[in-house]
Amino acid sequence: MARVPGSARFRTMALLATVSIVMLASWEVYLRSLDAGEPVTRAAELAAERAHRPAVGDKRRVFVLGSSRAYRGISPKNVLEQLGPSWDVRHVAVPLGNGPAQLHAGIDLFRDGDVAVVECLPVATYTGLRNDHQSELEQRLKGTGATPLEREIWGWLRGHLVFRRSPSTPSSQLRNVMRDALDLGAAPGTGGPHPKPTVMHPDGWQEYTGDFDISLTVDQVKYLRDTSSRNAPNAFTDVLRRLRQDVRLLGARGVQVVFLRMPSDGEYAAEEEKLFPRAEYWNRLQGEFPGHCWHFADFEATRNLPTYDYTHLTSKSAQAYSRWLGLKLRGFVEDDSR
Amino acid sequence: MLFTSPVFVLFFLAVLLLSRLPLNWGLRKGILLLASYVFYASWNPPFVLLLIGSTLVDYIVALRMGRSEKPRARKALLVVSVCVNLGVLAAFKYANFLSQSFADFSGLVGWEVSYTIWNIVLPLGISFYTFQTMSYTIDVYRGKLQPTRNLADFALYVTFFPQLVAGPIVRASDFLWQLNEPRRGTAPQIYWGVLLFILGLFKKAFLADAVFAPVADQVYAAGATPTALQAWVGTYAFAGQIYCDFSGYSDMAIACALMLGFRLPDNFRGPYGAIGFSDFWRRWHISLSSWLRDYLYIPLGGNRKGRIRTRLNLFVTMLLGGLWHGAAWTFVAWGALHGIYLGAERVARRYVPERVTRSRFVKAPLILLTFHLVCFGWILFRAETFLDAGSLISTMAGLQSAPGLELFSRWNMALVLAGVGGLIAVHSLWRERRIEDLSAKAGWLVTGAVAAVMLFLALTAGDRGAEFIYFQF
Repeated sequence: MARVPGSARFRTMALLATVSIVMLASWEVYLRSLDAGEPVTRAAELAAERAHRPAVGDKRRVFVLGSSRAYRGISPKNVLEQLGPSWDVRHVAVPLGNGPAQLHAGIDLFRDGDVAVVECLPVATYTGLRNDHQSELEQRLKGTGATPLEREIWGWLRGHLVFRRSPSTPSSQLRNVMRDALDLGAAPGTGGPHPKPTVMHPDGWQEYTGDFDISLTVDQVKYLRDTSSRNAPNAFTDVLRRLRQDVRLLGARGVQVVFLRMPSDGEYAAEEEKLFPRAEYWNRLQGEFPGHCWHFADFEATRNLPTYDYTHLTSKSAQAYSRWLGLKLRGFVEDDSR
Repeated sequence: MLFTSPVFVLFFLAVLLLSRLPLNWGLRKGILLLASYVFYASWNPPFVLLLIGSTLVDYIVALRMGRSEKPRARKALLVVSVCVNLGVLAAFKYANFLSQSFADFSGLVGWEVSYTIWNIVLPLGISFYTFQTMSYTIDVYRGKLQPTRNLADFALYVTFFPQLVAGPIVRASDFLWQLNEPRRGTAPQIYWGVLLFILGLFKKAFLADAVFAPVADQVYAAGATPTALQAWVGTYAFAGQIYCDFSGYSDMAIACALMLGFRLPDNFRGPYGAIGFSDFWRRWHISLSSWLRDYLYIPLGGNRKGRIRTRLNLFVTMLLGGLWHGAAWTFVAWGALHGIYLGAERVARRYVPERVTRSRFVKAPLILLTFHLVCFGWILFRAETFLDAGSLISTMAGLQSAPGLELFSRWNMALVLAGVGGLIAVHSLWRERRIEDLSAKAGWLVTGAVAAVMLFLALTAGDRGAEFIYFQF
């Protein structure tokens, strides 16, 4: 160890403490001045916390994985109405989430008796698309999760310090400054357009309380076209291969897996079918896991549920869909236990 | 309880405070031992029993070995220790891999075998602490070490929390003697400990998790279809991520031990400035490579049995080193690749005079060549299957086209390239220098300012909740 005089050590530590405190305080003040109404906790963090939450008594768990179609379209309360109180439904979905990839990342989370409901958003599932939320969620699902004490401390820190909860980092701010300077336009977003009139329920259901919004549908269709690729079958072959292994491993652990294709309609649904024809994609998945794949168009109760933007269910349809899902899951697990 | 979490900081401060109380040394060692078990139990409490079991077996075996004069009895005791340690490792880490591989190979020869996938949870750090306890019994068997009679000392050696879950793999001969005298972190040790901890935190929280991981994760994700450029950048990103993740952990482990008054061996020494692969393995995961050298390569005959046998020994050592990392054929292939690299380097050294490789003009290309060949190995290490690895390699070689989705922004790409370029430059320029010497030479102003910036960037990088990569091994 190199010799450093005591006075130099003292000066180094004093400088380190002073500069760190000044920089962190300045950053905190700057973020507070932005006051952009940033979320208290990031979507991936919330989803992972729900996933890692300790089991309640002997309750069997249903994990809902996927995208915003799932967390806006599935109300755990309504699912539980059908399943009964011996179940615990957890939302583990993020905006533009990739359900099969979440299943793979969180494979060690699942225990005997659990059911994983994997919502398959075509643009994410078939192309292997991952946004920041999805990548972060995968990291968090792979870990063992925070202990209750850690959750308390993190919660306290996030509640009091904006820089601990803000998605803005010095790096992202610098990027924005440079983009502005070079006139490159906005940085690529982390998801599609976000509707405003929503209510976040404690069980993770994000209820959309508005009406059908034509402006949202235009954004959604544009986003789908921009993000999708026609050259995706190779990616889907890989996805299927991995799903086969994962479902087999989970089956050995006593975990059941169900795949959902949730409703979409109008121009968006037509575009989805053009980009990802059912015969080339969903039917292949169905062929791999017969009886475990529930496409909304195959069931009377879910075929004509209205959406508010062609891709997310309205409040009423979400409740109807959730009740249907609860009923379907009940039949599914009862059949399996016989 | 990750080193990067505030709970760990509180836990460590409490342990540091308790370790400095005016209590007798035995009691303070007891506090460290208890803290180590609490630290381990914070992940999965039942596995503490496995840790205690492993400790007891090796303690008893070594003690009896020390008492016995009969070579056969000593050998039998060694076999017991090795079988128990490797048996535990095989059961928890390799059971599913072995049964699946057996079924797969049987299928290849047309013999259908059904197999069961067992629901096994891998105990954290099992590969590290089994190697650590095995080195102890082997050293006692070889007569290099006297077995300790103090069970608490031995238990603390096995479980010492800074290095318990992901190394460095500490030899008993490097640690047990430190327990003989009362220890408290001195002012210089605490000073270096704080700086080293900040360096480790910066590497992990900022470089590994915020700069490199988002890009590497996108490229190596299941079903990802990167373009050639994205595949190259993703591979560089993983090279940066794994170094910063693992060496960041090692820095923090060494720093915590130092603040408590203990010295742990270095685990990294600028590996991306290596010239050739024997040099790389002297700089990368040093505690594992020296373990493999002393307890596997040399017992196999090392370089004492002719050229062909030497290369075979190198190959087998690296192959098993690869398997140590994970229960998958991709890890075995990664190890085998490094075995081939080391063998090829030995052949090349016979034809290239050493003065040529020492030349300044040759050094830089050789460093870059070594780095790129190491990166090639990282593809096998990171990819989940050979198909994934093959697909990425063919994309990098331009043999496979991709749709050109924006997997990550140009900004992220620039950060990765700057980060990896910076790592190579720092490792190459300061190949033989230690961070402490550089800091002492830079003076208090530069050291304090650089450490403050690192701390700021680490704390504001945005927590992604990522565990350390080497926890899975």
